[in-house]
Amino acid sequence: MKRLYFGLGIALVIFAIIFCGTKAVRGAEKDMKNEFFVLQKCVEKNDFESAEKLAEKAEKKWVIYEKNLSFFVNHAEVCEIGVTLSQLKPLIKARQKGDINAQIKKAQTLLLHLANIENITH
Amino acid sequence: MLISVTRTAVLYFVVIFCMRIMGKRQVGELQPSELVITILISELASIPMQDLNRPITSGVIAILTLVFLELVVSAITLKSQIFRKIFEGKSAIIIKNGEIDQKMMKKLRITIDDLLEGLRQAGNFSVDKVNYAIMETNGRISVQLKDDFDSVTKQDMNIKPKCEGISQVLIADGKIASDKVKCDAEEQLKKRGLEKSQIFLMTKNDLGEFYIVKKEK
Repeated sequence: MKRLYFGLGIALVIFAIIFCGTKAVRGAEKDMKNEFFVLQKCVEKNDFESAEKLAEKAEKKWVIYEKNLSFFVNHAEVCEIGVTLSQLKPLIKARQKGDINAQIKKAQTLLLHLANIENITH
Repeated sequence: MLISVTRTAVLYFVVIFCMRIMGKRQVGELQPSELVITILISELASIPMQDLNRPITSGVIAILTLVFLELVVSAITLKSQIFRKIFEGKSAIIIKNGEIDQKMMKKLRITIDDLLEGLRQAGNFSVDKVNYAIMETNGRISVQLKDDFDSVTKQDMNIKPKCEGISQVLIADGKIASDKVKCDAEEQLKKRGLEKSQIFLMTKNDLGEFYIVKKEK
């Protein structure tokens, strides 16, 4: 019986880790998805000044998310999104619309991949 | 490098904790499911230790899930005989009434060398003395000797057994083991004119007999 209580305790720990991990990943995905959407719109409208500010904001946000996410998902994948975001600002400054869009698309795909890892069907 | 040390330390404690929960058993006594889980746990623990890209939770959660499943399965097997058969298997008779069951040996895929080795490990060096040999679920062979070769017991000789019980340690390496035994220990020391610092080991059995080993000078 004592062992079963231990089992119950372990199950709770497992669920807590899964819950926290899923929440962290889903939260980051949702938030960053919005950021990318707004950023993409700015680039489409050729509003590069706002796009630059948004890119900087997204980069800072990601640094915070990175700390939490590294606890639950592969560091290399989290880091890759950070690198992709850091490349956005110089591209916006250079007004290279095609490259900016490609970079945003890459970040979106990586983010989606990160969220999909948490799916049971992955 | 510090992260490597931290991860190793965390996983060390997780693995020790899990092994303690799973119970005290030696490798040779593990049931098949327990053996599989023990190997898996060691493998899982080593991955986040070596690959720093992997989050530590991936290792911890996998280990905890295995331990949880092991606890659930052990609880079910305790209650259900069908589950016990599925997860632990059942023992098989290899030698019955002194005759080797060759069909069973083939079924269990054990050679005659394996059988002889198992018998030797059980303390029997000749097959002809064995009445029953049973292969247990953990792979060990239990042996019952034929009546002619079995040891004589005290009961056979009508000797009333003297039960010494378990020896309790009173003094170990010059130190009294606990407050409960302090009176007994000091009384004995006084009687024998000894100091506790002179004693390497002092024990007392259920019959009240003391056993003393003095420290070497």
